[in-house]
Amino acid sequence: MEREDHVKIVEALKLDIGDENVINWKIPRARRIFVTVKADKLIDAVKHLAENGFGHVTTISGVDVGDGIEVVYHLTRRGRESITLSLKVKTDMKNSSLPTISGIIPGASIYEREVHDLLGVNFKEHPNLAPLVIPDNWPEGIRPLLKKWKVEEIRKRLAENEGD
Amino acid sequence: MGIVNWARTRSPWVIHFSTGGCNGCDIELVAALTPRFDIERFGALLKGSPRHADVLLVTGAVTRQVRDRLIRIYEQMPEPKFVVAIGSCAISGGVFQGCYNVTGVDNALPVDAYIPGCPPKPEAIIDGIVKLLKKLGY
Amino acid sequence: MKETEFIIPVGPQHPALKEPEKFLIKVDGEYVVDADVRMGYNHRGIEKAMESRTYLQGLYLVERICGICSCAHTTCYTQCIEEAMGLEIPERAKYIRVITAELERIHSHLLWLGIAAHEVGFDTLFFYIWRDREVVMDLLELISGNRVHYAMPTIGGVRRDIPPEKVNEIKKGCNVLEKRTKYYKELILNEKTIHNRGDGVGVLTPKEAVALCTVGPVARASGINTDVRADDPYLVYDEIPFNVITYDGCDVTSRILVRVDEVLESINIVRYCLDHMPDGPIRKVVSPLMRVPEAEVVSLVEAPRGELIHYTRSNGGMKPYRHKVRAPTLGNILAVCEMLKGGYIADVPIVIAGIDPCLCCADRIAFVDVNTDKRWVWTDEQLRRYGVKWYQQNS
Repeated sequence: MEREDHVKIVEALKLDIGDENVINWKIPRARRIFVTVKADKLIDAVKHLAENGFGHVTTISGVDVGDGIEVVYHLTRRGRESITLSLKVKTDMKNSSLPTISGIIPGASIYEREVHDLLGVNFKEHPNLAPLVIPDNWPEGIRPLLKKWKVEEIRKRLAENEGD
Repeated sequence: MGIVNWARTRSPWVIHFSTGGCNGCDIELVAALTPRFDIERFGALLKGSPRHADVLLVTGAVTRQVRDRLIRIYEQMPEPKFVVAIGSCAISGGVFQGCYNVTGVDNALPVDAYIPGCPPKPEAIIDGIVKLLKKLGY
Repeated sequence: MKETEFIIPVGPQHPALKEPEKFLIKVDGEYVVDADVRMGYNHRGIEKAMESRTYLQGLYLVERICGICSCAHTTCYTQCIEEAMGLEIPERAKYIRVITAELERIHSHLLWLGIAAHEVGFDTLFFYIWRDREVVMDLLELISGNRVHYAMPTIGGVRRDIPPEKVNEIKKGCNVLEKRTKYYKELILNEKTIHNRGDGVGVLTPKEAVALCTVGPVARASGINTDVRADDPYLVYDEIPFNVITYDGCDVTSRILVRVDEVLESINIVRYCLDHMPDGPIRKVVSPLMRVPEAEVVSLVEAPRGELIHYTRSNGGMKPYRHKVRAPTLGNILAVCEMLKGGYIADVPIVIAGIDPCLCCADRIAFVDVNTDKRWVWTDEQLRRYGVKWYQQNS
């Protein structure tokens, strides 16, 4: 696997969704690509990648980056020429919201559900955003992976919630 | 009196409850049932219902959601009843100490025996349970 | 084979309590029409905890995400952090990591095989398999000092060496395991009970498997030829000859056969590694208070249950800024919900077992009949017995 093969993938994506919509990209090593695109181009980017071999969602990660939430879609082109391309988009901290990609890749829906649980990102038109990993009776409003929630504070709130 | 003899004089009913965690202790407890370790030769019978159980074996880190059920199972057991905390998580939270959703058996129930380990080997589990049973005069 | 009172003690037996269930299943008479899952009962807040622990402390935490595939987590994690640090570990360490990982795969698949036998009421087989599984438990203890949570990979290499005296022990153990596993394979291929409960049950077509991003043996049992060890080789898998096992049956029986064959492949991988392991150091020592330069790393390994990913973001400090873990079982949840649809209630236990889910605590499954609105909750054990009895009456 040459670096050239990886660059071609990024170039093809740029061609499809527009150069200006690809904010940055890097290829730290073989089989790993990281690309950041504008949030309003998420669907187009995923469509393009899914049609070009990257049809497997390994997972979706959410990261609180201070001035927003970065949602990272780890898409893998499986098979012996495997590459994992991590597609990043940023959404606002307040009212964070992105369109669901489960219309393109149904398997994504479970990972979106998890990001919703732990970081509060809303996925528009998601088939089922019911809690997945967050327990029932979880106090309203606590999205534990947001940096503003310290572990001690969560513990305290959980105890209060249960009337401890 | 040999251990096999005193085991025959009384068969305590034992019930197991897993409270979340990595299930390492659960696997070793199940292994304790298999022929190589064979906990049942000590007379302890692993049963499903707490209503007739004498001893409650608790594994896992006791997440908040499971705590209520743990307490309720304990309440369903008739007196005299005893609790064994198996594994570091049940004893103190283990590596999960400080995690926001984890409590500990001591915060829920009175514990009579602690079997440390991560996980404790089947031999250690059997040893701990047998020691407790002996102490209780079974 | 008589029906016994034997109960596998994985959870409480309390249908009457109002407690969180792990599965919510909609039925229409005998048939399942839909299924959803809830996993909150076991939420421990690990990813949050990782942010307040050093990288070395984090190692022991990720190890305990799961007691069955703990080595997969430590392998994936150490690889992740080492890549972020630009640290290359010694060759010998890579071989030892592979040996430990493959022994774990053997233990995990045999454990599962025993549980699967139990699910279809075949308790004798469960006992035999778990007896034989002790062989690999002994080998893991021989190498690492512990039967579970072997903590072999550490940041920079492995914690313990495999000296020549132990190599022979391991090879002997492998011979025993191979013989027994081949026997079980013959048994499974010819055992009517298993085929009755497994053939054509829990079907997942290749198209569904791909669309739902299925991983591991479940995907391979639907003919999908994917395995991280072959697709995205890590450690020394690119040097080791081995086969990716696929079957085309797309059903529970295929999932059983994939895992049995994988045990045999793993045995060969272990033997190859023992023969080709170079001499040399096993570890590059790093400080327990090491700092990791700013980096972003995706690390993938093939855990026994399938593709496992650890994703880390470091910022030059002693603790990760963010560490994300997606265990393979999560990758198969949508698939299992799909497999349950159109099947009998009696198939639910073996289909769920077929994805090799973590033996988790809350074992309650809630049902609602869409026609009558009758609702009830069964424990794993009640459901298992219902399945066994139903098939006895309806075969």
